[in-house]
Amino acid sequence: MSPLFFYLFAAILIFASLAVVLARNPLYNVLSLVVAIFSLSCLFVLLEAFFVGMVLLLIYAGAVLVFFLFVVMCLNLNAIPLPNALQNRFRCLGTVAGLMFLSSVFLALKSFLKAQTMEPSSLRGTIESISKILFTDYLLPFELTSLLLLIAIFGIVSLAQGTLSTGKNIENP
Amino acid sequence: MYTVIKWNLISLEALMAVILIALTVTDIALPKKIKRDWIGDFSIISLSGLIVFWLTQSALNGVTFSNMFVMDSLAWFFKGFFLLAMVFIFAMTRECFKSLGERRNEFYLLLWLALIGMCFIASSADFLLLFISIEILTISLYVMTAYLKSDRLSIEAGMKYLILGALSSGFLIYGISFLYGTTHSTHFDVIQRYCQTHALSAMTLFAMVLIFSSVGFKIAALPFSLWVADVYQGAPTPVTALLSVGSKAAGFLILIRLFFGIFGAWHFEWRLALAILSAITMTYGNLVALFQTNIKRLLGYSSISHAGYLLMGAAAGGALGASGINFYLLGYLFTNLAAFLVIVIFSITTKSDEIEDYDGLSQRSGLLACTMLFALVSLAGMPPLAGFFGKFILLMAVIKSGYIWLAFIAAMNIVISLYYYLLIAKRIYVDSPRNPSLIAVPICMQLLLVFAIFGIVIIGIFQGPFLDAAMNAVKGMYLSHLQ
Repeated sequence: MSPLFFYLFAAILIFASLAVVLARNPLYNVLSLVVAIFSLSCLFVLLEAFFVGMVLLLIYAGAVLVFFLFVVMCLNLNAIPLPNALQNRFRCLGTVAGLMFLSSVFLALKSFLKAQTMEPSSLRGTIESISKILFTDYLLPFELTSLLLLIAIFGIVSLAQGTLSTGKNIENP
Repeated sequence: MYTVIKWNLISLEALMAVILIALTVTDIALPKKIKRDWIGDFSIISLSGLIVFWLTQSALNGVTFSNMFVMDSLAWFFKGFFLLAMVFIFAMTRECFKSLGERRNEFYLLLWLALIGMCFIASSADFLLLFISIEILTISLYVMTAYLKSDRLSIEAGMKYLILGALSSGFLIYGISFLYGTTHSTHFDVIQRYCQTHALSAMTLFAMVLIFSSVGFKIAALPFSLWVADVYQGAPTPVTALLSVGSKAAGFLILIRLFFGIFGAWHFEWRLALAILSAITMTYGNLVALFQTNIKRLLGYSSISHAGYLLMGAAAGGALGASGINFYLLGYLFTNLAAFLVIVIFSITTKSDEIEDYDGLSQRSGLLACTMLFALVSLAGMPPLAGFFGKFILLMAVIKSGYIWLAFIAAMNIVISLYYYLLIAKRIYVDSPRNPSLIAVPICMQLLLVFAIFGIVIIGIFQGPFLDAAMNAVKGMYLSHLQ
């Protein structure tokens, strides 16, 4: 049962990822990225990493990409054809980057085939095991991230509040 | 199964967090349109209380939170350093942001967050904690840099700092991931054991270079100091002061912890690179500073050159090099903050940061002119003041470690810097003012100015106790690797 689902979601992932790159309309790009991330999180669930799968779905597909969608819709972006010279330059860079990626995939495959057996991770990706580590060994860094959120709140409140006169304005009115 | 948390080790930070929360609640509860600056007043009072509390912690030593949080002599020294710097910066903010109304309250809270971030950097014994504390410091600095949002320069500075800062955070986490890949841990003690038993490999070298480049961004060493001039000029002056003293000291603290502690076994391999970097950084900073017309920009380039001097200590290595860095930073705190205090008070009255407006400052305010003179002469490194003795120790450490050429370059640089520092002193004392109106200095600022001058002179003349403090900080360091 499980291999069938794996191939199904892997195929969806690959096609959706291709659509992200190939689609001309930015709206379709973002929507196919949502599909890609959904199938990626399904793959994680198949690997029994439930927590990672859920987080991926909630944060990326749920929050980040919806923002992307908002931005794309607000800006009303259209596909603008690039000038020819620029397009050629991008093609060159793209070829180089693609070759580099292919070679790294090749290296990874080689070492993967060399590895005899893969031990299953002792740390199952369940919420229980992750939270146990998070609230014992990594308690302090975890709590400190709350300060980061506090900074974000203060930053938004102070920088996005309506226009106010500032204390010091040296050169420009 | 569950480890006991030693709360007394982390009590200073816990107290800061409590104060932060109390201030946040007060900020929300206070009625709007209130005239009195409650948050600022309370902040300065509680900072003085925290300094007293900090004094009682000098003997604390140990690790807690599964070996992530360390309290040792180095952390203690630098926490005191950050608290002292923050007293100056809060006082500057109170003056500088008077006209900002209630908007300044969030600025105070961000300053508190930056302080907490710096204190956690001082106490990190794990790369994960170190990364998060660096982010707390840096992200609050991004917001504070762009705080004057109707000022184009401030927005530009915030944007530049954000982009380059994000890049440097990326470098840091990339380096940490490589280190984790080779050592299978983010704990400092495990990594140190690995370093002592293994030779430097390509992967660990790559990780070290990445981590150093991120620290280099913090301390404004050369290839990573592109942001300095624009950010120093555009940011509100208290933030510039925090960047030049607090952020730089935090960078050197990380440098001491990492490169004198856990990577200490590999010191020999990277010291030549550090020496070259130090020489290039100080020469670049001093040469470009010669042509500046804005005083904040000039101090920006001067801060690059001081990063170069401080890197000499890192290149020299050993207890003398590390304690030289500590001592130099202590003198630099008083010197640079004195200069920024003068800049804050001057710009409130005159609305200008241009050097030519400083003409004849001595006839407009004797105390401001006098403080600026002391600060400039100490920055240049003239004998009786703090800056001189700091440079002296670093030069001594460098010569002892065999880099005579580096000491020679540093001496040349000191001569170059003398020119532009004294040129400002000449403008202040010799030239006649264009606008001879007097500059009023509030009484609490007068006290702070006198305190800064006092610090510069005392550290320069009675170096003994301060040098001892700097030495002790290095000697009792957690995971120290000093011969």
